[in-house]
Amino acid sequence: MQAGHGSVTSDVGVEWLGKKGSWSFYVALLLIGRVLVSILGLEPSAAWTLVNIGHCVVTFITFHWCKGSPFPTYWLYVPENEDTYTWWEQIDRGWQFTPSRKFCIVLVIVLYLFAVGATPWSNVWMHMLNFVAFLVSLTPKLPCMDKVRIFRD
Amino acid sequence: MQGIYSIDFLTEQAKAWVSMNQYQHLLELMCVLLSIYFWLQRAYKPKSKGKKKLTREEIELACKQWKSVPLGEPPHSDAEAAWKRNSLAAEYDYVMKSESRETVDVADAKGALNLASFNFSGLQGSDQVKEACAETMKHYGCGSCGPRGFYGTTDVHLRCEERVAEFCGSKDAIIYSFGTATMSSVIPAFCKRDDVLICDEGVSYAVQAGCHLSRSQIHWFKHNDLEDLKRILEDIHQADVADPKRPSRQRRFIVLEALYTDYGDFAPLKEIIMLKNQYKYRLIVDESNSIGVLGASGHGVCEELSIPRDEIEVSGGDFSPALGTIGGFIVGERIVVNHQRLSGAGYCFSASQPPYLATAAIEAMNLLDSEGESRVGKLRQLTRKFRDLLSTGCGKCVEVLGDRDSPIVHLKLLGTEDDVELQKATLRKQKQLLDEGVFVSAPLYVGMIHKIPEPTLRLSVSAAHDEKMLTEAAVKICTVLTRD
Repeated sequence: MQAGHGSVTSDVGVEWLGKKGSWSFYVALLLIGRVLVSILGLEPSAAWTLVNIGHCVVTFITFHWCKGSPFPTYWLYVPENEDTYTWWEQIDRGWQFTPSRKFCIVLVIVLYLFAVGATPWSNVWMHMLNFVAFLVSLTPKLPCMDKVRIFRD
Repeated sequence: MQGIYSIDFLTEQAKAWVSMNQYQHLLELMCVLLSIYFWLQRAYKPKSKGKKKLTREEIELACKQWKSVPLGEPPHSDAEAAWKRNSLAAEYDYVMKSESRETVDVADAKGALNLASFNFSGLQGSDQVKEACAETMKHYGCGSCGPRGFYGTTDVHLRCEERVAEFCGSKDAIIYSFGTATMSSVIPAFCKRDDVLICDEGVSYAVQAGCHLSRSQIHWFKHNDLEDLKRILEDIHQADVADPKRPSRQRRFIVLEALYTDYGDFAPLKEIIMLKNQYKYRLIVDESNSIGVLGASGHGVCEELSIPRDEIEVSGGDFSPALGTIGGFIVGERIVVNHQRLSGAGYCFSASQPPYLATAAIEAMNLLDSEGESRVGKLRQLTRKFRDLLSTGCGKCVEVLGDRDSPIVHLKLLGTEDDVELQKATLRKQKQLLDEGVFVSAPLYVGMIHKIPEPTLRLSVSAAHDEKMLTEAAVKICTVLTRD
């Protein structure tokens, strides 16, 4: 029915991160995760590490591993080659350093910051784990890794 | 105070933080700086990574391998014939230089008798209609400023719909802003893919466009040929035996024109209604030319044949041939009308008729009701007289096509079978007739219609003419057409 005029409706399955309330939703999810982990009775260091690593694994799969639209909206305009790009590559139509992208990047760094602060320096293994998780989350979010495939095509 | 809110707890935490390892502080500082760095970046659109450049050899190879594909299908043979016929008309140029009334100034001819425009009830330019229009215009202004669903509905439109329903003797009516868009909107509103349309070959372009836009299966039957129609109905009926659930899945319509523009004859409506009831079809009838012409006071084909309006599920057409205004109407059951208010493309997506044109339609219907005899009756009388004069006067050179009561008269020149030659002769005769002071039309048809009618001269009688004018015209026409 859309004929020519006006802006193209964006794929809400991809673009929901830019919508109102989604950042607070994201932060709330992490806090809930942190509270659940502390209910298990873990030390703060182990709890923050677990949250950091869990966040790393989940975001790596959803943002950087699965391709196509996370919540397909077949009734709307679908960009070309959508199925060959990950969710992160489709966000904000591929623009880099948009507010929602910067939010995600800073969130990764802040999580790492908490994990570093909570972990005693003597626990080297935990620091190493945290650092790896931090790198794995941060690297694919950088503009230089846009549309670069390392592990598979 | 105990717990995490106590001052002691916070100071303890602060002490712990201060006493942390220096490398930990370094990492924290790095995190903060990184965050600030990323947060200060400006958004940008990355340049698309360019494709690999091809070498000269590769380009040449690709050029050699490329094969051209035709841009489109070659024209249909009928379309080509129509194009040939239509291109003949390029050398004739008729520009009307006056209002289209019973006499017009065309090209160099002054005051030629107008037999080219459809003005059946003679309401074009009627002073009474004009006054009513001016009154509406003073009140509502010119345009309606929007589609019917968005601010484009005025009380004039609603009154016009009521009046049309009353005039045609139906339960409800809907008006469209343009006559040609009416039939091409209403057919796709009811028929979708996989539905069945059984359509007369002779229906006009607007109806055919509607049939094609609906994307339904179209079966064409020969113009006004009941046997052919019965054959198609029987074929479909036989196919139903294999798939008995099919009739409940499909909507099925028979599509007709009450008075065919391109042939000047009436559809055998009574027989078709019997067939449609027998085989369980619905009927769509274009009444563009029959409103204001058929029936004692021009109420259309139902009044003429004294059949109830309910027998025709969807009927409607153009206001312009008889009512002398712009717009279209559909009458039917309330559910048929209401369905179109959200699915009639021409109703939903184009601005509604300017209110004064709706007034003109109301006024025209009032005039037809009050002066039925002097308009509809006179038209019938003139038509019969004119047709008699033509068929006796022209004799062997010309075939007068159409029904005796039809004010649309098609004259087909005899002597050649070739359509292009015939078109050439027809156009020449049209020019000669204009030189004699009679303006007739030689219709051209677009190539995409199903069956292109033969080249003819089309004359239309109007109630605005009088007997003397038509007798003179008939004599002139006969002399021009019989001479070589």
